[in-house]
Amino acid sequence: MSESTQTVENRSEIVFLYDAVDANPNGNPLSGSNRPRIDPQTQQAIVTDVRLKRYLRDQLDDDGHGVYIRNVQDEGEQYTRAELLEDRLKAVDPDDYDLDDDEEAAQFRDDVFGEYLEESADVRYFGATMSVDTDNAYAKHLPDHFTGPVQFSPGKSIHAVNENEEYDSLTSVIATQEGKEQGGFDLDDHRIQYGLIRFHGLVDEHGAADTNLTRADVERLDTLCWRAIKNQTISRSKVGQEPRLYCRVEYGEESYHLGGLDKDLTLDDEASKDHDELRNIRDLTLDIDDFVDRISNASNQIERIRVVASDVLKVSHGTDSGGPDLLYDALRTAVGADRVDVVDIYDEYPETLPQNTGE
Amino acid sequence: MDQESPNRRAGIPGESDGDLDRCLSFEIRGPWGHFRRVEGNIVKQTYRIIPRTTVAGLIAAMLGIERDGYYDLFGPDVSAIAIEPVEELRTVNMPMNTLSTAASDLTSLNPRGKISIKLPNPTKLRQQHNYEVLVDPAYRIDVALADNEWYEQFRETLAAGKSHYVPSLGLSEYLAEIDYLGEFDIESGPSSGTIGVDSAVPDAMDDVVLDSETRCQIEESPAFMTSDGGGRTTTEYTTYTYNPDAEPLQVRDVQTSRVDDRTVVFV
Repeated sequence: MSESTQTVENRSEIVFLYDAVDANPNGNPLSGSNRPRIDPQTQQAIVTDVRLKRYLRDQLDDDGHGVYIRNVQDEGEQYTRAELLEDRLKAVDPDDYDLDDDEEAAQFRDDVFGEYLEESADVRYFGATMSVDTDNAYAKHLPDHFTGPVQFSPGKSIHAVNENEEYDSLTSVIATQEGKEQGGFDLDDHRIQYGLIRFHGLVDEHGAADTNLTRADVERLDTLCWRAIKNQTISRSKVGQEPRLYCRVEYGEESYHLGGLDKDLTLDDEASKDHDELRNIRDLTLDIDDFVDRISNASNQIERIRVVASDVLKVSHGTDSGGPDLLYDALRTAVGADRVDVVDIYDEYPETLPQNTGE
Repeated sequence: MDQESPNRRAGIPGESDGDLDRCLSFEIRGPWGHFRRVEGNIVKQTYRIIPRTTVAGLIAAMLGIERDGYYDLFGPDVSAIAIEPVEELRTVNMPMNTLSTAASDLTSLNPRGKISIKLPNPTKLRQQHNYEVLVDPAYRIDVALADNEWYEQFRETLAAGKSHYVPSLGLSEYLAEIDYLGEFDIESGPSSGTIGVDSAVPDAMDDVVLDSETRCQIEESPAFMTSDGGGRTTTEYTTYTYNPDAEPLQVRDVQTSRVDDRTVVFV
């Protein structure tokens, strides 16, 4: 087996920050006009894991990877995931397997779901729901769902946000459909003025075997998250969002991770504008002291760190302040320069595309 | 074992193979939590107190025990768990667009074969559901296990800051952090008069001393499970009385235990 197809053996913890300027990073479908989700007590904007995963799935789809959960109604000539699985089911006869034998049971499982998983990158990452209807002899060898080994908590803005009320009347003159001249109504467009959204993710090395998540899949996240926010925030309410910091800490020690690493990145309140005056990334400075300290304390358990930050992100560490290089250098000091790897997104991502395209 | 055994409430017989006279304490917290109420309908409401069955599943996940493989380990005679909310319990609504998993909305594949698999159809319109979720939930858990081997392994797991599968609070995306607080003796606590109890109080709703300054809420949640042919079944429920402000509750004439200078009640 090549390096790239091996199932993941290391746990990873991910911190991902992106910001939203005059955007609605995640509307609440049950509120009037799809208002931004905001914690009523802290006024922090909330972005669900589902929203982030939609960006990632859309980017996987654009890149030519198979994606099971797609929005498209018209599949065209493309083989659907369901058809793919259906073909496998017809080809597999459970009676050909000695299911009391662990290896054969694993082979049975792989023959039913193997190709489906191989063709559905999003299921390898995030899992899928299904129900398996069979007699008990086979049911206990087949999963009734796939739990995703890659999990992101719903994210929140690092600070309180303001809703931008000026957009309220924007849409009254915009036609809702081609050929219709009348404007829509109840299309008020609510956005937040600014929000720096903080996501926390984990890659579970023990859950990885269930969905055949590979090492290459995890490494793909290092460029995928960034490119997904760059490329998939294209609808009217989603423009104005930019990735600001991605950091994946890969642990060497089995079953170990620090946990809650996202919470160690906070606003440096002295070097940032007040929360209600934040309008863009240049108005704030990120305090990385606790983040670097915790990573430094766990340096024995850390195999490597893959990190990239936006060139305009300002950070403060101790008495120093500066750009991304200050963060990179602090991490190098914490765990050793050979274990810190700055991701070059656009140099690296072509390597993560499906092998059979671009030829 | 004397009659005032702290484990009497948990119904632990003296002859069980391991003593339930010491426990492991840890704190679990995270930005979000959701413990779906079994009686809920289209609005996915959450329990405020992490149910005992969820604690069992969490510990099993940390130990790497598979689903449906741990119910005996946390049975009524061989385990004791006390749950204390340590942060104020607060919720927000988290509406979700989800694909329907109702039978009529699933795509059924190969229905005539020996294996038939049904998948939600991603081209269908999404359903809108309101999830009530806990914000920044945090609990202190005290757990005693009669099974010495698993107990020792859990202590080592906690002490090393490890977890086989990644811990979460109810749903896999609600990632959690675990802090190991140590191993403590379980001593007999007061059992008569008015007692301030730090943990949520199981099955004592009639014994709570009400006070206009103290908030007090009640909920019934699953406590014990057993595996059956199709998966698992809840065999017993517990009614917890608790203070949503994470402060002690005053109760009268309840058998309590002392753990780490706190007064708790085990189930």
